[in-house]
Amino acid sequence: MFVEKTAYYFPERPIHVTEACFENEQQFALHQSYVGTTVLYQAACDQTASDLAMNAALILLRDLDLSSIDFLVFSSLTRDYHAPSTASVLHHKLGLKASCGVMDLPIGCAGFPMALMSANGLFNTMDLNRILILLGEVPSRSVHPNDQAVNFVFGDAGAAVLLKPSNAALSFEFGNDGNGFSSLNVLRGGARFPMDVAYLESNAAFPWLNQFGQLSMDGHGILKLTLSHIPSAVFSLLDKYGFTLDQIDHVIFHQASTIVIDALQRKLNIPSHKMINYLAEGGNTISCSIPIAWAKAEDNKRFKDGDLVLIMGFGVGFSWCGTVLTYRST
Amino acid sequence: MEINTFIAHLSEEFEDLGVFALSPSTVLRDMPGWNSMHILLLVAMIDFRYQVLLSGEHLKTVETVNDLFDLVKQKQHEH
Repeated sequence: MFVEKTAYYFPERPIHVTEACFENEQQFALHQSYVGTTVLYQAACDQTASDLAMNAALILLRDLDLSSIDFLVFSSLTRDYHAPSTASVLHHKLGLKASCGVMDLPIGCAGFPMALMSANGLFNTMDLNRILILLGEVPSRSVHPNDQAVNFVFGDAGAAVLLKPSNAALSFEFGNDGNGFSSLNVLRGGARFPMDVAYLESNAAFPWLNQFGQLSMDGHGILKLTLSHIPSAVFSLLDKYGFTLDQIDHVIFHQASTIVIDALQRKLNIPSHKMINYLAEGGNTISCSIPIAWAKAEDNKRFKDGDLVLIMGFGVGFSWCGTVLTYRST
Repeated sequence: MEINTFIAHLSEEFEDLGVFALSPSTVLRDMPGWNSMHILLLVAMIDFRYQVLLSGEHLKTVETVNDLFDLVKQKQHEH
């Protein structure tokens, strides 16, 4: 399996991260050094995750024979409906054929590699032509404006990735640590903690928090989980391929924040020229972050035909998944 | 493990923040511009240099640079 084409879409409402967003100059400087985001995008009130994914899909699928798409996977933590699947809605909007299957993956920051893993399994077991992965995230809907831990970190985006089968055998490294529950979550709006009158009233001034509930993040907890699981996951992944890190040309970690990416780079001793970091524009876009970084690296001519690209998604759960893809210019 | 080396590592981590002249008795949260981001820097540095991953629980007891040094030493011995 290989990535044939990628596209992404940022909503039209940019939020420039400036000194005015912070208490003082030093707080701003800290944010720039360690979160690394200069502009974020926010979806319009009536835009959903599938709208953002749809816009990315329209860019990706221009001039493509849609009947060649045999499966659609949609990855999002902020889906349009509890039912039907948002993939089903997108399938209909795009006019995909009835024999094209659909599936939602509400996983989060590891969503893209998990979607790749699902696609790889489908390609390996069936004779499929193309698989389309769509991703859409509107984390801005869960950000409380007074919560310093999550402000100016997350951005809304859509992404689209087209996959084709190949003879290359892929391996994946994945795992989960449920202790991560308290470090990153959105608790309201599900069966355990439904939206109740008290919650709705407490957020009357922030009505967007009533769509999915409020995001809560303990940055220290997430960093600790990342440093305790991801370096060993990278080495296990390399072992599966029989590669060393030296043989890898590019590393795309989930674009969580510069502090997390830098800490992993230092611990794994990865040379800077191999690191892909496009946090400056768009910020942490949950499952869209890796495909956006891939697309930008490609736009910036960083990939050469045959380059090995290690990708590793990790976050909410705490869950992770990664693989190594060979870049093919098409 | 020497406290002077430890302080040098800390200073290196914070140098671009304009924080300097750290001593064993420096109270971490009194450093100019101290915020939650510094905790993350500390945790990543200590993991990298000393192979100790500190949790929020551990850090609750830490006030000064010396407290942090003692904690890291203690955790290294527990390994």
